[in-house]
Amino acid sequence: MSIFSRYAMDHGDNRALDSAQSVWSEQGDRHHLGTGPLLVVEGLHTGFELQSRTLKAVDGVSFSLDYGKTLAVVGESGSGKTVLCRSIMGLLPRSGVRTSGRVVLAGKDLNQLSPKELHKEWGRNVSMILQDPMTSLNPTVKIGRQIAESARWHLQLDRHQARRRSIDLLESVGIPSPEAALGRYPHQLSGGLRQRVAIASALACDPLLVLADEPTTALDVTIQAQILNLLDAEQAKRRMAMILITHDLGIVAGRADETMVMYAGRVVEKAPTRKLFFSPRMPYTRGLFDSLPRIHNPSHTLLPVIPGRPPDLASLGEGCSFEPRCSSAQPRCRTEAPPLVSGEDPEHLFACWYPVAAGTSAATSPMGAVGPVSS
Amino acid sequence: MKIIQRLAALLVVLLLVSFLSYLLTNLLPGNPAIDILGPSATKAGIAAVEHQLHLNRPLLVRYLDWLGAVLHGNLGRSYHTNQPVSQALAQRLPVTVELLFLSQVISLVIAIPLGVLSALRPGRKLDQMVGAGSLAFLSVPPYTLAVLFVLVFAVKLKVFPATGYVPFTQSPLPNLRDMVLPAITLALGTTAVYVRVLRAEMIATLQENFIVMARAKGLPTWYILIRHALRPSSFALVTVAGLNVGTLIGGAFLIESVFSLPGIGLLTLQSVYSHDFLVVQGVVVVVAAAYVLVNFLVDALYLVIDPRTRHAAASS
Amino acid sequence: MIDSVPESDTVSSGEPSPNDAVLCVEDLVVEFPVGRRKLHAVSGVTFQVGEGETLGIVGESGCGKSSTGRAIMQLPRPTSGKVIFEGRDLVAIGQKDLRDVRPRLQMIFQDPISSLNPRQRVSDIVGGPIDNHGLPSGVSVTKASRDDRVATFLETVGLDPASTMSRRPHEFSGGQCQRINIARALILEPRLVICDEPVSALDVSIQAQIINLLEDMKNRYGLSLLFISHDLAVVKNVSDRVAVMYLGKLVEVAGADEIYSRPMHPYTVALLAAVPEPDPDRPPSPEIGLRGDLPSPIDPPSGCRFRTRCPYVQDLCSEQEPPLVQVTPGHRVACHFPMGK
Repeated sequence: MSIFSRYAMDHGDNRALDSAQSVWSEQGDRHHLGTGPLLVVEGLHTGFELQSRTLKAVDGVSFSLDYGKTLAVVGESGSGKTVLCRSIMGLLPRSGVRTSGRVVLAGKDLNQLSPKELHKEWGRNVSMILQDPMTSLNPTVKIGRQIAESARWHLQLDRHQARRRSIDLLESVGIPSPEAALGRYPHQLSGGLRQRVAIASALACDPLLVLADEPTTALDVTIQAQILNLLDAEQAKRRMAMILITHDLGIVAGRADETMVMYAGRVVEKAPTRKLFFSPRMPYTRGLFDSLPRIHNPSHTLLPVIPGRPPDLASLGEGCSFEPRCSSAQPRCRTEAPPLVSGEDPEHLFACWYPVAAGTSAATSPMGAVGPVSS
Repeated sequence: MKIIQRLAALLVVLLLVSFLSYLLTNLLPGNPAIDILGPSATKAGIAAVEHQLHLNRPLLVRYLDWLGAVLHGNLGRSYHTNQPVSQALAQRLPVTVELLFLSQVISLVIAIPLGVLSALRPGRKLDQMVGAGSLAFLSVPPYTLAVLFVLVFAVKLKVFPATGYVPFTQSPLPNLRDMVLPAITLALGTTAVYVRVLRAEMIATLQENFIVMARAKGLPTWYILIRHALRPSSFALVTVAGLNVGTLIGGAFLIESVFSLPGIGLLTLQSVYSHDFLVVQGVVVVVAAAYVLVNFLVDALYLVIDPRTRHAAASS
Repeated sequence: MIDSVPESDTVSSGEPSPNDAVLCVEDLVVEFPVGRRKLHAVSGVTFQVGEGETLGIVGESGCGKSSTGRAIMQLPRPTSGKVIFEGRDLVAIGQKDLRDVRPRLQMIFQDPISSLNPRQRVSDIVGGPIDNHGLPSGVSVTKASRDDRVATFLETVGLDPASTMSRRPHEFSGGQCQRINIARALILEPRLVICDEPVSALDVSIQAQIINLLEDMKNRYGLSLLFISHDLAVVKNVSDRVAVMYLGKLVEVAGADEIYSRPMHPYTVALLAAVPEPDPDRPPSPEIGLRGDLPSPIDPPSGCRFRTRCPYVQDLCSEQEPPLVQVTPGHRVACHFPMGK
C-alpha cells in the first residue's frame, strides 16, 4: 500500500521507490507482476515559458500508484490534468517547457532516460488513450497497422504474428468481424468503435500502465458506459494500472481506487474514491460536488455554485489558488499556500488550512440531500 | 459520372484553347507564303502558295477545316518541311517529357526530405538554411540559372555538356548526361516551392493528435514521419505540383532553347519564327491536353492519399 | 415526487393545449441531401411549448435535436411541417415577416466563444439586436437609451457593464462569453429562447452558474425555453417537461419528474441507466442492454427506428411504426410495448 502521510511527502518516500521492483521480461506475459508501487511521481513541476513569465501548468505533484490499480485525476480545464499526463509520459516538447521532478515507472526514472530509452517505454510499458477517437487515429492508415505497429516494433513480431495479435485485440475490445476491420480506415467506423480501436492499440504490448485522458468525453452516454466497462474489464484481465483523467466526477465513482482532485496545477485533494466522495475536505471538491446537476434533483433545483472562475496560471499569488473563490477563506489563505497533508485519516490528503469538517457532506447521496434550494 | 463530366470539360477547354491560339498565330505579322518563297517571291507566286495552303480563305473557315481534320486524327503538315505535324510532335515530344519527368523526380527527391526535416524542428538551423536557400532559388529566374549553370558546369568545369542530345533509346547514359543539367535547372524553382508547401503542411500535421498517439506508442521518429505524417501532409504538395505543370512547360521551352534540346519547345520557337502555324497549333493542342490530363491525375491522386475522399467518391 | 397522476387532462406536468402554447411544432420534417440520397435529420416531430414553460429536448448526437431547434428558427427552413409562433406559421411566411418575428424568438448556441463576432465590442454585440430591430416598446432609439439598456442587461447576466462594454470577446472566458450571448438573446425581451447545448462546452463549476442564470432569467422575464441538450441531468434540472429524441423521432414526452421516475420507452430507460452518477455505492453503469450503434439517418430502420438496438424487440416493431400516444395523462410514448405499463 502506498500511504502518503505528511512525513512521506515532506521527506521523500524512498521506501516506495526501493520497493518498486524492475519487471523487465522483454517478452510474453507479465501477469505475474508484483505488488506495491508501479508508478511513483515526486515533486513534478512543468512550466511553459512565455515571453516574460513561466506558466506553472503542473506545480509540485507527487503521488504513487500500485500495480493494477486505478487513479482518477479530476479537474476542470486548465487544472493541469492533461499536462500532468503528458509530463508523466515525457511527451512534451523540449523547447519552451521546463520539467523537473521524478517519474519512476517500475523502478526506472523516466526523466533520467535518454530519448531512445524513453521510446522503449512508450507503448511498451506505458501507453495512452486520448479523448477524441476521431483525431487520435490516423485517417490515412489502416486500422490493422495502427493497432499492431507498437507490438511489431517493441516485441519484434513478424507480419503474421502482428496480424494474429491485432485480431485478438480487436476481438477482445468487441469489434465485430475483426478480420474485416483490419483493412478498414478509421472514418469507416462509428465514434464508439473508433475508441475501441484506440483502446486496442493502447493495449497492444500489454502495458503496465495506461493513461486515459478523457477517454469518453467525446462519446454519447450510452457509448460512454460501454467504453468504461470495457476499460474496466481489460484492466482487470491484464492487471494494468490506469490513470483516468476526467472532468466528470460521475464516471470516477465506483471505477477508481483513488481519486485526486487538481486545481490550478496542484493536487488539492487525494483520497480513496469512497472517502473523497462521502467526505470531501477541500472546499473546492465540495463545491464541485454541490454544483453538479443531479438526475435525482426535482426539476428547477437551484444549484449551489462556486463563484468566479479558475485563476490565470501565469499570475498565481502566494497563497492558496482557490482562495478568491472560496467561501471559507481566511487571511492566512491569501499569504500561505496550504500543503497537501493528511488529517486524522492518513489515506485522505487535502491542501486546505480550513477544511470542510470530516463526514459532513452527503453530496453523493441521491435525492438531493445537500439541501437544494428550490426556486 | 464524374469522369464523363471531366471529359466534357476537357473537350471544351481544348476547343477554346485551340481556337484562341489559331486566332493569335494568324494575327502575327508576316506571311508564311513569303517565308516559303523567300524575298524574291512574285505576287502570283504568293497567291499560288496561299491558294495551295488555303491561306486565302476566311479565318473561321480555315479553323473549322483544321478542326474537322484534327477530329479525323490529321493535324496537318508543316508548311516548310511538309512533314506531318503529328510526326514532328512524335519526334520532339519524348525529349520534353523526359526533361519534365526528370526535373520533377529531382524536385521531389530533394524537396520531400528537406520539407520533412525542416518541419521536424521549425526555426532551427536546418530549417533556416532551407528557408533561405529556397527563397534564393525562387527569386532567381530559371533562364539566368540556366546560363549560369552552363558557364560553371559546362564551360569551366566541363562535367556536363553545354548542349546536345542523344535519344535515351539509343544510348541511355549519354542521354542522361545531356539531360541532367537542364533538368536540374528546371527543378530548382519548383523544388523551392515544394519544400515550402510541404514544410507548412507538415508542421500542421505534426500537431495532430494522431501524431501524439504515434509518438506515445514509442515508434521511431523516421517511422512516424514517413508512415503517419507524410501522407496527410501531401495534399497541398500534390495540388501545387498539378497547377505547376503550366509554368513548368513554359520553363521547359526556355531551358530547351538555352541547352538546344530538340523538344517541342524548340520546335515551337522555330515554327513561330517561320509562321508555321499548323505546327504551333499542334503543339498547343498537345500541351493543353497534357495540362488537363495531369490535373486529372492529381485528382485521382487525392483518392490514393486520403481514403476518406475515396469512400466519399464511391458512395456518391 | 408525484406518486399518482391526476386523472384530468390539464395536470401541472401535462402538455399545454395548442391555445396557450407559445410554440406549436407540427409534423416537422428536416432532410438534407447527401449525394443523391436524403439524410432524415428530423422525421415528423410534433410538440408544444407552453407559456413560461421549459421543454427539454434530450438525445444523443445525431438524433436531430439541434436540427429541430434550427428548423424552428428557420435556419435553414425545414423540409415540411408547421412551426406556429404567435399565431403565424413561420414555415409559410416570407423573409420580411420572419424578420418581424425574430425579436421575440431568440437562440443561444453551444460554443459561446465562436458564436460571438471577434471583431465587435461587447456593447455592439449585445446592442446589435436593438440596432437591427429597435426597442421592443417601439420607442425610438437614442444612443443613450440603447447604451443604458445594454448596461442593464449586462448587469442582469452578472457582468460589470463599465469594464465589459468596450472590450472584445477574446478577452473573456467561455462562461463570460455565454453570459454575453444570453444578454444579447434577452435584450429584445423575447417570448421564446431556444438554447442549443448552452452549457456543454463549459466546465462543471461554470456550468452550474449558467444554468442558474438561465433559470433566473426565465423567471424574471417570463420566458419560455426550448432547452436542447445531450446531458440528462442538466435537462432534468431545468425542464418542466422533457422530450426524448431518437434518430429524428420523439420517442417519449412527459413531465420532467415523471419521465425520470417512470420512463416507459426502452430507449429512455437505457439512457437513464447510462448516466454516470457520482455515487460510489451505485454500481457503475450496469450493462445497459443497448446493442450496437446508432443506425444511419440516411437509411433509417423500418417500423420503430429504435428496434435495431432494443432489447425487447418483437416482430411487430419492424412492421409497424409506433405512434406517439398518450399512455397516462401528459405522458406520451412511441412504443408498441411500453415498459411499466
